[in-house]
Amino acid sequence: MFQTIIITDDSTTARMITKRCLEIAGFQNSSFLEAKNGEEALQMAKDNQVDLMVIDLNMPKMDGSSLLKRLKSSPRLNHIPVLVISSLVSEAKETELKEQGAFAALSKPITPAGLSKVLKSLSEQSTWG
Amino acid sequence: MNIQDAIVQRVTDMPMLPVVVSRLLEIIGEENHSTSDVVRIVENDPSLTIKVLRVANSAAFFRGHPISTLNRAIGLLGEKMVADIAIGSCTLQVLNRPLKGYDSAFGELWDHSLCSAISSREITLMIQNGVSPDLAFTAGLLHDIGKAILSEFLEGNVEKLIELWDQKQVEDYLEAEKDIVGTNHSEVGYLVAQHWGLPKPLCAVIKHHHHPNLSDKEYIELTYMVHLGDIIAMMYGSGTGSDTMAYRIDPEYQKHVPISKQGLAVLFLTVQEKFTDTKSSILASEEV
Repeated sequence: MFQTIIITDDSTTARMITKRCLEIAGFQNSSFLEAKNGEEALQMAKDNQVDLMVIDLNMPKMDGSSLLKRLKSSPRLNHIPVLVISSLVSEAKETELKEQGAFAALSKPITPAGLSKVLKSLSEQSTWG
Repeated sequence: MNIQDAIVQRVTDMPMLPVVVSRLLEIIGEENHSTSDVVRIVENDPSLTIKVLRVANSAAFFRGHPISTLNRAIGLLGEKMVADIAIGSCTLQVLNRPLKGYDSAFGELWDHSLCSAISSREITLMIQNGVSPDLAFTAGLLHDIGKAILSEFLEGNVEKLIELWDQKQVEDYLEAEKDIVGTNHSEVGYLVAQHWGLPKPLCAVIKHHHHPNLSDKEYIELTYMVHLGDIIAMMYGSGTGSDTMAYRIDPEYQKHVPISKQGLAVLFLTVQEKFTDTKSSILASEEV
């Protein structure tokens, strides 16, 4: 499950914290690709077989919302589950992001426990779906 | 002047702690002190008394009648909260700063320190092995003091530090710091602790909180508690930027801090609840 994960955030520190949280949450054997903006992430998704994308909302060039829309409108990429992470995700924002195709949205700071919970629920949905 | 000499000079140039803070930390470092001893220091210091009264009269605690005496404030808040306000507000000035060298925003160091302090104290209350809860709280608050100095010398190196750790060229972030500036935040923190004349148990924790097995035998339990408290704070989402979760947990910790998985889960919930309350009380004490 989730052999290749793309982490997208313009902050090197934020990408690193996300990666450490994912490793502690049980994904220590996954391969991580890192992108600094939506454009890079989109290209990486096209060039690799990707199992999960974790994206920040506020980024230069192409922000998280635009990236999410591009991914979900592409027949080649719309199967990739997308987890959105942002500074403050209100309930309304979470609903909006889910309507756009994200499977979950988490507020920063993220924790290994928080990630583990949403990813476990995603893997259960995949198993039953 | 080389970088290590510059760091030592920077520590030497740090202002000394106010007398009341030194006295407070000295009392906390004494074996068998009680929370009442901490409260007595507050009684004798007008600025600390005002801070406590501010909290007692803040929106969170106000009961319709203004509180104007310390005794009534203690009745309302409890001795433990009064001690927390005194210790927390004294360290706030030093710890409430951004750490550019760790890519850490304003407030994160203080949040992390407070969260570690609460975790460390809750561990003492859970395992009851004779370590003073106040001492564990204070040691947790001050354990990362070295970052406040080292940060400026690490500025511009965040990506390099992350790369060293990420590519497993170093054992932990302490080693990455050492690769860049020839020392680490534990060693610098120890210099600060000595400069301020902090009590021995606090010096031991500051120096060894990432390698508690190396701590003085006398303070090894306390050091393990803060080691675990520090990790719990990071797992709770309260880190200090680029070094968040870039340290290893000592595999021997359960010998010194015997907490089950279930106990850790309870600890997480307690820390979550107490962190929010204590933080808002200490911040209320600072409002003008």
